[in-house]
Amino acid sequence: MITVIQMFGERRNCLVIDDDKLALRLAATVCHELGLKVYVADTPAEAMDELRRRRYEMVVVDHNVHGIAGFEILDQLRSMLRGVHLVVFTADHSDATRALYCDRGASEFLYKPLSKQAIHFKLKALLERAA
Amino acid sequence: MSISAQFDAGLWEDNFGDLSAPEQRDLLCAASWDLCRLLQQLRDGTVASQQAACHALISVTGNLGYLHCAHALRRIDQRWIAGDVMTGAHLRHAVDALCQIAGHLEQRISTLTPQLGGRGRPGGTEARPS
Repeated sequence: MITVIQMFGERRNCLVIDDDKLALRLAATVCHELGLKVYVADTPAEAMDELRRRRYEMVVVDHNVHGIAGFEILDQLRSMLRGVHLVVFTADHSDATRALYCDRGASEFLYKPLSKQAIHFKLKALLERAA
Repeated sequence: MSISAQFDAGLWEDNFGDLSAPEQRDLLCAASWDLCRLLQQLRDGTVASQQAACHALISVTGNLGYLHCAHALRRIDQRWIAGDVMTGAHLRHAVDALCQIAGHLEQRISTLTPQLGGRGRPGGTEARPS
């Protein structure tokens, strides 16, 4: 089986922005299994620092991080997210919410409650499409 | 209608079974604290904070393996988003289920906590007096 790391030829970076420790851990584990080098941020300020520090292939953001909407975080980070694959974690299935993130370039949505299998399947498919 | 506090051990095992017992315990302790805080907010908060708590609890309960409760909370959240008025009676079943979950979480944490006086045993039974 060809892994994502083999396709890209080098380990790419993924930033996971979430204040939910279980979701953060789950996403980080899956990204690591997919061959991504994982960094985590549980506040928008940490996310901004991380994005200044290194180049990211993928950013996973929760719909609500410490009471701040994920799309507002994306607005704050907009200039640093060009060419980055954006994935959204949310428990809100509404079309209106989906549209908010699609307008900001989101590539994929993962609906809570999360399962490791679902995260793995969707992120792998996204990385394969991008390869 | 009551809300089930049923625990899906298989989902937890799939998601976090690869972690060591201390790592699982640390995650459960942090999540348990979150759950209790959000439960209090859902029970006693303003309507806006109740709605925010309900939304956050979908993730917390689902990640902890209480899928029935997570899906029930999601239905409540969707009704809130749709503009329905949720009364205390609507939320009482959710609060009851979350109280049961908090109790079950304590048991799970206890099971993963090494007993005083020697070997921590996976079953969570009492350590023998030395």
